Amino acid sequence: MTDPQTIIQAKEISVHYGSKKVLDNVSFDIGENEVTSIIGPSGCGKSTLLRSFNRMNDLIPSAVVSGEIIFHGQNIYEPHLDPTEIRYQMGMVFQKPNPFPKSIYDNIAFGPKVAGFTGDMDQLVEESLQKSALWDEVKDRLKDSALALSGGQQQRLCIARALAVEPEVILMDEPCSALDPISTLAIEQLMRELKKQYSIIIVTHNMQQAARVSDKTAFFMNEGDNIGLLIEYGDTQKIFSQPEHKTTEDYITGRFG
Amino acid sequence: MVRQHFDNSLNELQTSLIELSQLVERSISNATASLLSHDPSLIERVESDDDEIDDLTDFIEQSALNLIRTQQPVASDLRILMSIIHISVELERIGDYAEGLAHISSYIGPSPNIGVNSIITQMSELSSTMMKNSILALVNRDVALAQSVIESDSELDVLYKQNFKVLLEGMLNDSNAIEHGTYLTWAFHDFERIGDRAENIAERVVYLVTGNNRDSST
Repeated sequence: MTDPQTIIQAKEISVHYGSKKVLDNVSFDIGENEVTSIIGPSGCGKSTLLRSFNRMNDLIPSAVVSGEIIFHGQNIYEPHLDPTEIRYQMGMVFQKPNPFPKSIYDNIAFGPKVAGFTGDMDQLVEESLQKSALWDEVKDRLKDSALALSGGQQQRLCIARALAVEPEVILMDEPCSALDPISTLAIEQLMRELKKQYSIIIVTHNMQQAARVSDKTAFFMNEGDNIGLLIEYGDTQKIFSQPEHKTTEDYITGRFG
Repeated sequence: MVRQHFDNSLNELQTSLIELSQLVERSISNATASLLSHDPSLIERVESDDDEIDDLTDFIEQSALNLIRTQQPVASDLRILMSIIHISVELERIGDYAEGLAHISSYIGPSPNIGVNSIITQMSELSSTMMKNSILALVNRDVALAQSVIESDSELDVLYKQNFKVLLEGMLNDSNAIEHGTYLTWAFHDFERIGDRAENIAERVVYLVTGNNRDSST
C-alpha cells in the first residue's frame, strides 16, 4: 500500500486560551481520502486541534494559534484569507446534532444559498442527502421540520449540510457520542463511504470506534505541566496492536487512574 | 486502579493455563511410565486426566471469550488473551498425544521388552521439558527461554530420526519384534509431535512479548 497524498499539514501548532497553553507544538500530516482519528483523555487539546484546522478557534476571543496549517500549499492562517471560505472547504460536524429549526430541505439549502450557489438546488439537496445515506428515509418529507428526525437522522442531516457546500475535508467532533449503537454504526458506515471522496478527521472518546473506522490515529496526552502533547501518530492498526509508546499502550488499555 | 478487575481476571486465566500444563505434564509422565511398565492403571489414569484436560481447556476458552466480550481488549491485552486461547489448544493437543501414547502401550501389552526403554525415556523427557519450559517462558515473559525451546525442537527431531533407525534395525534383525517395533514408531512420532506443539507455544510467547508473529531467524 502506498502512502496517501497529504491534504493537510499541521506545522508546530500551539494554541493558548489567554495565558493557558492547551496545545503544544503539534506537527503531523493528514492523508487525503483517509479517516484520521484523534484520541486522548479530556482536556488534552483534541477539539482545540480540530477547531484549528478550519479556523474555528478564531471565534473564541481569547484563543491564540501559532504555527501553520498548510492546506493546498497555503497556510490557512494567512491574514488575507477568508475564514468562512476555509470553513466551506472543511466542514464541521459536532457532538450533538444541531440542525436549524427549519425544514429538512432548508437545512441543506441554507449553506449553498449563502455561498451564492446558482445551480439546481433540488438536485444539490438530493445529492447531499444521498451521500449522507439519508435520502431514502426523508425523500417524501423534505418540507418537514428537521427537528422531527431522530438523533441519528439529525446527525446524518448535519453531515449532508456540511457536504452541500462541497468541502474537501470533514471535521467530526465526537459525532456519535449522543447516538445509539445502530445510529453509530450507520455513521461509521457512512464515514467509510465518504472517505472515497473526502478526507475525514474525527475526535472520538470511543477507542473501538477509532480502531474500527480510522486509517491513522493521533494520540494526545498531558504530561504533568505539559498540556496537549502529540504522543504518537501512525497507522491505526499499529497503534491498537503495538503502540510505540508506553503512554499510548497505558491509555488504550485503560491503565490510567 | 481502574482495571484491577480485568488484571485479576487475566491472572486467574493464566493460573488456569499453568494448571492445564501441569495436568498435561502428568499425563506425559504417566503415559511414558505405561509404555515402560504396561501398568493398566496408568493407562486409565491418562484417560481420565484427558477428560479433565478437555474440560479445563473449554473453561479457559470460555473465560477468555468472556473477557474479550466484556473488556474489548487491545494491544498487549489482546495479545495475551489470544495467546492464552492458542496455547490452551496446543496443550490440549499435547494431552491427546499423551493419551495416544497410553493407547499404544495398551496395544503392545506385556510383550517382551525390545531394549529401547532408555530411548523412550530420553524422548519423553526432552519433549516434556520443552513443554514445561514453554509455559515457564510464558509466565516469565522470557523470550530467551522461548527461543531455547524452539532450538530444542531440532534436537528432538534428530533424536526421532536416530531412534527410528534403531527401531528399524531391531525389526530387521528380529522379525518377532516387528509388531512391537511398529507400535513404538508411532510412540516416537507422538513424542516428536509434542515437541512441535511446545515449539508452537514458545513461538506464541515470542509473539506475545515482542509483537512479532514469527522469529525471522527460524
